[in-house]
Amino acid sequence: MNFLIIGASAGLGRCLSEEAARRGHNLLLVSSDSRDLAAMAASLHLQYGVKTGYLACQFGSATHEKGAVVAAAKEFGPIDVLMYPLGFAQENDTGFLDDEMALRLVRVNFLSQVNLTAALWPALLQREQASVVGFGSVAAVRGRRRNVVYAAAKRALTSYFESLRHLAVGTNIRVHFYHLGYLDTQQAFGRHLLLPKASPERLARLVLDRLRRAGGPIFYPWFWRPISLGLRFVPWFIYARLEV
Amino acid sequence: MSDTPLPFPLAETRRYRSFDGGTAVETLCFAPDRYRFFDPSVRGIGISRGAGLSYSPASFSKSIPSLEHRYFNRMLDFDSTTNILEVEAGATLGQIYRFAAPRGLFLPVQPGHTRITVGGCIGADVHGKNQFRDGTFLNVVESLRLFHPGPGILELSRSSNPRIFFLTCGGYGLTGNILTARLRLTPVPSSRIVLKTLLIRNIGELTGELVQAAAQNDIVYSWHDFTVRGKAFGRGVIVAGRFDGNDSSTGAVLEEDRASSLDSATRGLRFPFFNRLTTPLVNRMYYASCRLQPTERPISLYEFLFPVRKKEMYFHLFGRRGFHECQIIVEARKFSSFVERIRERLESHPLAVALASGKLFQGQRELLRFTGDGICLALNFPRDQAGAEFAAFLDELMIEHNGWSNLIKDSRLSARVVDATYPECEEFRLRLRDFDPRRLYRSELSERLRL
Repeated sequence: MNFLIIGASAGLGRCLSEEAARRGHNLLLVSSDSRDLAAMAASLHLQYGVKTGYLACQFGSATHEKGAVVAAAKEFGPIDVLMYPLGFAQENDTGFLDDEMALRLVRVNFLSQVNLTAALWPALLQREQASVVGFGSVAAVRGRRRNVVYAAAKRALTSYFESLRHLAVGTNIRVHFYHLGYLDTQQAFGRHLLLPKASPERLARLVLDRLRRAGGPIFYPWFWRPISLGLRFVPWFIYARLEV
Repeated sequence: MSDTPLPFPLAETRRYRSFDGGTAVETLCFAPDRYRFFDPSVRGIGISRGAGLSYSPASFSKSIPSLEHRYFNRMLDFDSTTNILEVEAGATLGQIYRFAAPRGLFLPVQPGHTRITVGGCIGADVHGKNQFRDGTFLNVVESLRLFHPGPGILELSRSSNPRIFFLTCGGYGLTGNILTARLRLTPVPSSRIVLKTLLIRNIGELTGELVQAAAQNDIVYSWHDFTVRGKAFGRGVIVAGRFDGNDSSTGAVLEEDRASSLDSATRGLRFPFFNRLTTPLVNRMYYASCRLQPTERPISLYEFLFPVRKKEMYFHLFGRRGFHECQIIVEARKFSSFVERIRERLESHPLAVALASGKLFQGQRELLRFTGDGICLALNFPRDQAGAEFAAFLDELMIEHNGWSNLIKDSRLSARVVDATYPECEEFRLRLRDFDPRRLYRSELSERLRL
C-alpha cells in the first residue's frame, strides 16, 4: 500500500513511517524540514527496500501548500492510507495569542487536515480499500487555562473526524481517530508529568494493526479514557479549582 | 507528533554512570530529533552521547549538557560499487550488521557489542580483535560531517580539513558533534568463521604464540588465568579465527538481536560475585571448559562480530560498585618483564583478576589514539580498595615499561599518567585549542585529563 504521512519526520510520525516501512509499505513523507525528511526517506528505503518520497511543507503558513501535496501524491502513486500525526502547541497559548499565532495553531492542528482530506478524498474513494487516520489530544477533553487555542483546534478536529467517519459509511474508506495522552517524544522530553509517557513505537504498531478494522475512537494510553470521562463530569465548581 | 518548530533546547536532568561504574554525574541532556537543532539560530552545545557503553565518562560532565544521538541513527546512502555506507552518528553496529550482512558485507573493524554507535566508534577510535590486521576504526572512516557552533557544519576527510579529521577520529567527542559518517564496508569472505583454540601453559608463551597465530588468522586474542600462582601463572588459551575457506556462502544468516541488559544505568548484582574465593574457581572452570572444547569449531558471523552479546552477565557479576579495566600496550620485547612484575605483585597482593586477555597490536601512534606496535593486555578486577591499589601499581609499571593505556577503557587514569605515556598528548591539547579556542566541548574525561 502507499502511505501519505503528514508530519512524518519526528515523534509519532517517524514511528508510524518506520513501522509502515517495516511492513513493506511505500511512503510519501511530508513534514516541515527537508533535511529530516531526506534522512528518513533514504533510511527507510535502504533498510526496508520500500519506495519512498518526501515533500517539505509549512502547514502553519497562510498559503499552505495543499496543491504541492496533492501533486506529490499524484506523482508518487495512488494513496491508500492518509495519516496526520502532526500537531503544534505553544507554551504561551494561555488564551491571549495574537491573530497570527492563533491562526497558525488552528491551521496546523485543524484546517490543514480539513483541506488536505477534502482534496484527497476523491482519490481515496477510487481505491479498493483506503484509510484516513487522525490524532487528537486529551487536552481537548475539556477547556482549561493552558493550550487554549490548541485544545480548541483539536476539539474541532475530533468533531471533524466524527463527521468523516459518518461520511465514510458505505464507502471503501475506514476512518480512525486516536485521542493521545502523553507520548515519549521530543514534545514531552524533560517534562515531569503526573502520568507516564506512552511509547510511540507501540502506538505505531497498534495503528498499523487496526488499519483495516472497524471501530470507534481509541484513547492511548487506555487509562486516558476513564480520566477523560471523569474530567467531563467533574462539577464546574470543583473543575474551576483544579490546576489542569 | 511533528511538523513544527520546538522551543529548543528541551533538556532533562539525568544521572549518567560510566560503564565501569567509576563515575556517576547528574547532568542535563538533550535528545534532539531534528536537524533544526544545529541551525545557527539554535546551535545547542552538548557533548555527544551514543549508547553510553564507554568505560570512561567521555559523554558527560557536570559542566555542559550531554547530547544524545538516539534519533540521529539513520542510514543515508549506500554506494554498491564502492561499498561505502553513509550513516548518522547514532546508528549502531547492530543496525549496520542488519543492513550489511544480507548484502555479503561487514564492517571489518568493530568492538563486540551491537548497541555501540558509529559516533562512539569514531570518537574513541575503537578496535576489534583483528587490530594487528585491520587497524582501528579510523581505517573504515572515509569522511564525516562535524557540527561545532563556531564554524557550523564541517566536512572532514583525509583530503578535506585533514587536521580536524584526524583530531576528531580518536578525539573523544571534544571537537564537536559528529553528525554523519561515510564508512567503507568490506565483502565478507565467508559467512562462517572457524575458531581454533590453543592451550598455553603460562603467560610467558603468549608473545610468540600470538605472533605466530596472527600470521595465519583473521582474529587472534587470548584469555589467561591470573589467579594461578607459580609457574602456571597466566595459563590460558589463544583463540584464533579465520574465515572458512571451504564455505563459499557470503550471505550471512541474520541472527535475532535480543534485548540487551547493558545500558548506561547498568548497576550489576547487589553483591559482587567476583572475589578472591570465587574468581579462581570460575577461572579454573573456564580453563577446564576450554580444554574440553574441540580445538576447531565453526561460529557464525554474528558471534564473530559481537562476542559480548552472549556474555553480558559477566559485567553484572562485579556488582554495583563496578570494575576496573586496564588495557595497556607494551612493546613485545618488554612484555615478559611487564607480566613478570604483575605476577610478583599478585603473588604478594592476591586480587580477583576476573579477566586477563591479550591481543597483538600494530600501528603508528599519533595523538591520543590507542594504537601502536606491541602486545595489548586487558585486565578486569573488582572496583574496591585492593583494585584501586593494583590499578595504581599498573600505572607506574606501565610508565616504567614505556607502555600506554586505553583512555576510553579506564575512568580513573590521571593527566600525569597520560602525559607520561602519550608523547603527543600536549600536541593534542594544542590542536584542540587551535580548532576551538573556547574549548566548548567538555567531558569528565577531558576535565580529568586536562584536555
